[in-house]
Amino acid sequence: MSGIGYLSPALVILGVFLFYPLLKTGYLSAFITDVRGRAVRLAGWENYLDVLTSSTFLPSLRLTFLFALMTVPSTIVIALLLAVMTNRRLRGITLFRTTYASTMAVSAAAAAVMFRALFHPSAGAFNTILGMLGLPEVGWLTDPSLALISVALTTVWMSLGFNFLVLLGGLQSIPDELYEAAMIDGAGSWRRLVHVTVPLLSPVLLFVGIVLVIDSFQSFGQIDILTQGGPAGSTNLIVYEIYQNAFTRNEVGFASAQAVVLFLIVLVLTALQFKISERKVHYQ
Amino acid sequence: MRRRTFSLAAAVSAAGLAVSSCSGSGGAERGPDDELIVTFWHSMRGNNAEQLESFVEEFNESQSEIRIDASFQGMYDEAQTKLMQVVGTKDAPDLMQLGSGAKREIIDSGIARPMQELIDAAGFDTSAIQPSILSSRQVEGMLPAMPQATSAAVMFFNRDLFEEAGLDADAPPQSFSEIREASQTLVDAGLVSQGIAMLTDGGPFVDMMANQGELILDQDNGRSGRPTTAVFDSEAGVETMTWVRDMHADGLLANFGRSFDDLRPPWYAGDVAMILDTSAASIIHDQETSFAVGAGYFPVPDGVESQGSVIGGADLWIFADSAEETQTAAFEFVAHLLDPEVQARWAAGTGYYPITTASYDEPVLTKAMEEIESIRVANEQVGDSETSPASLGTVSGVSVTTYVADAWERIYDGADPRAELDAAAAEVTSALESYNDANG
Repeated sequence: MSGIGYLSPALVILGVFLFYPLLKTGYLSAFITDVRGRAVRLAGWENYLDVLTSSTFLPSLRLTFLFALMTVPSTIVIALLLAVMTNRRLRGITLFRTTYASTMAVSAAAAAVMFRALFHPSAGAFNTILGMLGLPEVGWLTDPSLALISVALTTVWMSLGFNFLVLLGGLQSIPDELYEAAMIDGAGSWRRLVHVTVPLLSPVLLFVGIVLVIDSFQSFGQIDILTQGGPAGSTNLIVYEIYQNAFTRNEVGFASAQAVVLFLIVLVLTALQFKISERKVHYQ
Repeated sequence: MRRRTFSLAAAVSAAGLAVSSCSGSGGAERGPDDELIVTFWHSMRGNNAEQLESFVEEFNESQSEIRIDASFQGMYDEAQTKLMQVVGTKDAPDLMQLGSGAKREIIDSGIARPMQELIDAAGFDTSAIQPSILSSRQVEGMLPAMPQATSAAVMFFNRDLFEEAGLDADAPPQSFSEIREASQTLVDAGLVSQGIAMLTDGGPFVDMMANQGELILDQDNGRSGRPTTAVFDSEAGVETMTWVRDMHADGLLANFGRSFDDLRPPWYAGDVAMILDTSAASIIHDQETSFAVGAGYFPVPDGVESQGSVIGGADLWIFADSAEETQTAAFEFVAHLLDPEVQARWAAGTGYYPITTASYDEPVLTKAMEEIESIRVANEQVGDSETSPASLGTVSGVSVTTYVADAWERIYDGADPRAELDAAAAEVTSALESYNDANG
């Protein structure tokens, strides 16, 4: 019983900010709602059927998976590379570590505004550079086939700092003796990375992977600022789709049903990640 | 002991919940000198915000019973979303500027005090308002909100570039083929990358349709009843989007996305010679440009007579949750903003055109109309406007533009204008159906 007492602050906070909204979302998903988001009529499964048959939900879901594929592996690889490179005792290495971690301190909104200026078709730095190289200018955010890549680029940049730091922390907890032993056995730097670093880092990699997948499914700020889901719906990721339905189209009941479906998908994905990685992750 | 810990925990949880649910509005808010405080949200930025806030200051200094507490809350859509989240709490504003497209939703939400009631109570004379503005803002013969800022859709152009290219800057192109020819001339002369630029946010399409007297929604654009069907996939709509697509495909029309913040800088820099914009940006453009700015009417198809611009802009809303005396105080400020002299300075200082007819007698406005071409063009256009349902704009709980924007971008990407407009219209019709079902 006293255990519950100790837990109560956390329970209250989670209850108010997590469980209550979750239940309320579930409740609203069964109703037709008015312009203020109030339930006016019981809809039963109608909203869920609409979600599955809507012309935007499944494409949006597909885009979200694509977006996760674009951002998660590349963030992990780049962050790991930077972490391995800076995991040495060199003069001035803290300068590099601080620089690589610094994107963590930039909010999604600030990063997106910065990238939006860089992506501008005529005034942006990226097209200016392409022009100087004699290459044709491209519509980074206005071309439907490029916009998702541009948003992914921004997202990778944004999430690099935090993941770099976590991986660097993981690397520093690997005992030096293991590397020494591997070197005595004649392992080169590539083999040390693959056979010593990665296995010992696997719990950290699992954590980073799960957090990144969840983050990519919840991307919102950069999309709102960079593309607002456009052009032609090519960056209309799932959370943005839900936001638009709930707040600009005033269909809270329908949006709640989408949110519940998203919740279930993320739940399954996370469980799957744990299941698969159980066999691969080594806890020391 | 254990039991006590548990009941303590329960009490803490209960207190936490109680705190989070304790809100809502009480009586009128008053400041240190017992003055009524009216919280005022607006969506003006830059120069236009400075202008509006100077009127707030004037009003606050002119008397001691009321203090207007003004703050910028994001662009119209963002501010409206924010409003819907705080309504019913003490964070909600008493007075708010909202885009004129929000009428139907705000009325249906029931959160506003009908402005007409306050107008009648105060004996405010609405015949001072320009007739076309009054009809565009009335719903079922009443004013749900007070028009405060009205703008015209205008084509701005760079006079210097026109002259360099040998085009007549005093007779800017207006028909589809004239604009194409002018763009081609400018591009061929190597003066610009593309001739003209417009947003893909759907707005220019809606404005071009109104300009040719074409409807967007049935029920006379929702003015003779709740709209049930989108009709913008008409022949005129297809012709307009086909012109837009061909202009873009031929490298004469630039695509800078959906935001004015991305559209205007290339025009300022001389990368394009013409932009479709709002007259509300007249003074902003005057400040930002280093070339002579010209202004003309919005494009129309060849052989079609221009019907004038949709009356865009913003209205002021007072909310039912505010205390009665706060509402009355807020209305006093609204009436102050509608003063013909204040409206004349507002129009001269921004490029919105005045709500009140008497403002045209004020020297400050007549002088601005002589000096700044876009202000003259916008005001002439109001005079020219027919007050048909097409030019009055839509009254609808569903915002058409976002659906058109998606179609627009697919058309740029190679999709067929007719098929895309048909699909967008079908989506709007189905959205109208759900809207009417939930709010009818």
